[in-house]
Amino acid sequence: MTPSRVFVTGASGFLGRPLVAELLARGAIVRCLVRRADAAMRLLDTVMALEGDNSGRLELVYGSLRDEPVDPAWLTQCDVIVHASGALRGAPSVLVRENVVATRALAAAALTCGIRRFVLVSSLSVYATPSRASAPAIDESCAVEQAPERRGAYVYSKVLQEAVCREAYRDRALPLLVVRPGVIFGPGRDWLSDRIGPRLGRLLAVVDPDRLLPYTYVANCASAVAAAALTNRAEGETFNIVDDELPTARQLVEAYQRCGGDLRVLRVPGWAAASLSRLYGRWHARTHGQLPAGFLPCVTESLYRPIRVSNAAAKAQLQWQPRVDLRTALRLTMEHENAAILVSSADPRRGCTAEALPARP
Amino acid sequence: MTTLRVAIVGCGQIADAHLQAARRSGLATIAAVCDRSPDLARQAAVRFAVPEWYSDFDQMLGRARPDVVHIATPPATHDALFRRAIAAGAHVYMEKPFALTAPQARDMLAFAADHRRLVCAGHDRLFDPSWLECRNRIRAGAIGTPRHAEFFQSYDLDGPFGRIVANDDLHWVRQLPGKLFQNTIPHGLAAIAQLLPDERPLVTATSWLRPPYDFDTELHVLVRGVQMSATLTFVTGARPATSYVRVYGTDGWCEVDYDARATRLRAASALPSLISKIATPWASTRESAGILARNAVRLLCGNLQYFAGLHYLVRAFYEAVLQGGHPPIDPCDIYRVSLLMDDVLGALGNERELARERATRVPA
Repeated sequence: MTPSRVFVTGASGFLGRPLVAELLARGAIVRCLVRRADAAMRLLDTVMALEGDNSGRLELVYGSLRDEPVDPAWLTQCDVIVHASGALRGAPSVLVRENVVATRALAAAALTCGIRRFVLVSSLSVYATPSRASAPAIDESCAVEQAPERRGAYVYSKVLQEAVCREAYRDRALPLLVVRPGVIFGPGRDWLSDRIGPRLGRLLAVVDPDRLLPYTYVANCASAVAAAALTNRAEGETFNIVDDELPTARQLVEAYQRCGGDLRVLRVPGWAAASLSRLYGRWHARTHGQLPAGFLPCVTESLYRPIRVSNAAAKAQLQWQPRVDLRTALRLTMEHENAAILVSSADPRRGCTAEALPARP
Repeated sequence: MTTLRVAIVGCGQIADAHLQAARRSGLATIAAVCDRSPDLARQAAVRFAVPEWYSDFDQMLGRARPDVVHIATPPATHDALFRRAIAAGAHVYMEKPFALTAPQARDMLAFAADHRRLVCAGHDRLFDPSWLECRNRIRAGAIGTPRHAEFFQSYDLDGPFGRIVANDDLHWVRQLPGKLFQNTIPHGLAAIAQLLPDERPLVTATSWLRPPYDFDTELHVLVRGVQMSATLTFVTGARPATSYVRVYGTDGWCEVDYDARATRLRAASALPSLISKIATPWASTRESAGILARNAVRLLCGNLQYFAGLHYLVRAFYEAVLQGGHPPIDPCDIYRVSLLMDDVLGALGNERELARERATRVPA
């Protein structure tokens, strides 16, 4: 059987590199869209580190989704598109340009080129906040946020990105499949996400420290996305991607501190954070938006309310299983952090050993 | 007419500041937003509850019929959009840089004058509260006669906007004749133009690139007038990214720290050198306490916005439109800033020419 040729956007990124490795390991030909030569070198380093000679199945295309429209030559002979690029931070217009405008252009090109599968890497943050802490687990049938602009620019852009793809699926039969990963962590990325609590310089307020957080280790997430790209089923479906074993906010913060992370931690109960957030909301309204919107109740409820996320659909339909357990994932992440510290700092006291992993309370 | 109908074209990063300023002014309702990309126009409309959004500028002018149009698009489009807005009867607030060249700026200003429309350039740092305080103190004679001004700006090419510019060879900033500098130094040039009385001071400039970038990132400008001089220093990679102006006079200096929203004054001391080593820090401590108290009050009153100068300038411009008065920034000053920019870019061009000549000269 002819192997699938998969076009990957964001291939040199944090998720993109392990995703390319996973696709190559599954026998696919992978065509990667990269912006610059240094990004291509990062990607090649990842591929060279893999077992066996995969270079014959790796293709590089230089370009950017910023430059509309998409060049159809990029997609020639491709069966599958995995759209994994996007912006996580930035001004609202930047996020919309990177996450929505680029997706619209890519979806249009996919329809023109007769692609068999279009996998969109979305985000768990698109779900509406459950009304109660004791609400059932969030699964794929739960509603998407109806007023995403209140939840910040990133959520707004991801909800709109999904809407663009769903519209193309509904009206023009785009062969869509959506994956919604939780917070992706792993070597090379700060694992203290916004879900842990608000951060002001070196001060981090950890809200409800024993709360389980919807995280997924980058290799686990990459294997789920690769499975979604190469499956012939599940068109039009959506899959949540979180690991089976989830970290608590306390575990992540302690791991960060043991790696020498310079942080002052303030532990805040959930009810106190909610009350402060309501006060902040009033002040925000009184001062006509002088303060940033990041601590408004609509944002904090979505970030700090304890939630349970179901990954049952991905496991059942994509035959996906998170391969790396939490302890190993944290160990690998911390080892990378230590290596980075050793390179960047002459102080041997910074950094920690993998044995010093924090235990779950 | 008690309130103005305002429209904004160009829904990029800076448009948010314009929308906030227009909304806070209390003198305008935002009638429409427009961007070539419908997604960008829609996001601005949704987030700021603007009733209409367009991806066609002429359609917006025809349907929304704005009294004032804010143009916040890349500078290469300014001329064409400006003329269409003015021809449609709107007054125009133009984001900086006002035009690509001084002759273009002169033609645009003449076009607006012919149509009896008011124009404002986005030199909003001139209306920053700390700069206004500095100007008042200078006018009151606190530093005597100004002799030299020093404008310093450090810019973060790893910041939210800088990173985009640095990583994209085709970004509109990199396509400007003066590239990064043309988009970043107009505030400094506007301050210098306001301080120097000379019609056409002498300008020398030098620039170079700091690896790993492949475009010029560092700039030094010297502006020489008859009675007063000024320098402008623009660097990247120094942290924190900040900007300040210090004006030196015959009796002291006055400094504006834009990021700290602070104006500091140092009078020439008649005290003996030993005593002044105690007196000066004491005066600085008292001054800092005053700044802290003022900023705390501003914070509590909701008056510590990042783009405070923009808020003041937009409001002043709207008042001028409503009352038929003079615009807050004189068109002559807009032209002078464009001229200064042309002189800086000209000096840089001469320098490059000279460097090329030296490189090709065969040693004897």
